[in-house]
Amino acid sequence: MTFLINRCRRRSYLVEELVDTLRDEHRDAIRACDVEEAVAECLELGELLQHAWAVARDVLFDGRDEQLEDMDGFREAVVSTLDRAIGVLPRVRKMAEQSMTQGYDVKRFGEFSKAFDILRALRADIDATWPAVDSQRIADSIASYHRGDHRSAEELLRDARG
Amino acid sequence: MREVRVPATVSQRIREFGLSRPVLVSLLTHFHANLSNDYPASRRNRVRNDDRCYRYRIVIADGDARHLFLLAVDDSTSPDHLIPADIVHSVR
Repeated sequence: MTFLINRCRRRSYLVEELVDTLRDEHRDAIRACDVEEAVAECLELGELLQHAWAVARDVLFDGRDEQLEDMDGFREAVVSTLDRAIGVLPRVRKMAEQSMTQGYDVKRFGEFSKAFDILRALRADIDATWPAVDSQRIADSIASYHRGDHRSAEELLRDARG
Repeated sequence: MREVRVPATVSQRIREFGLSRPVLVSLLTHFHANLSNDYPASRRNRVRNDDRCYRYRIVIADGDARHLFLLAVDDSTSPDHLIPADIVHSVR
């Protein structure tokens, strides 16, 4: 799992680096070709992230703990990689739109908006399935405990059994 | 062995999940029986931004569905108690 996340993370850095080098390219035709490559790279990164989240989801629902010794660290790695990808996509889209305005064809641009929507849906799914710890809820629970407003798990279990 | 004490806020949240009775009983059985037993191993998995708590995961099969519960458990407030302080639930 760590290998897969590292793979995603490095690919997301790669896309960012490539987009940064594109900014300095002023020859329109060359830039258009490079933008096309960047679009392809973004789409591949999107597919890789989809795959990574599917694997991570399986691990989470599988219930075996040995693969998730640092749950929060793992979540942070997935989310930060995804956020980096979501952040770079609009930059690539803007460059692709500029190239198309100049009359160049950008292959697979049609798939691009869909990929953006997929990544945003992926992010929403992570937040729903595996949200970050809620500090306010923890504080409220500890306050409840200090007020004496708590019961043993055994009592609750007895009540649930009826 | 530490006793598991469930704050009212967490009990309320569990009620809001709208679980079926068998899943609820299974969840509370995990709370009662497994949380303490697993403590020596699971305490290492600390919550990133709140070191008072550690992470604990419960997966319950329910026919074709699987329920996932992710908890933050406070082991710092009391030396005698484990306090489930946050819980989230999802199903697939």
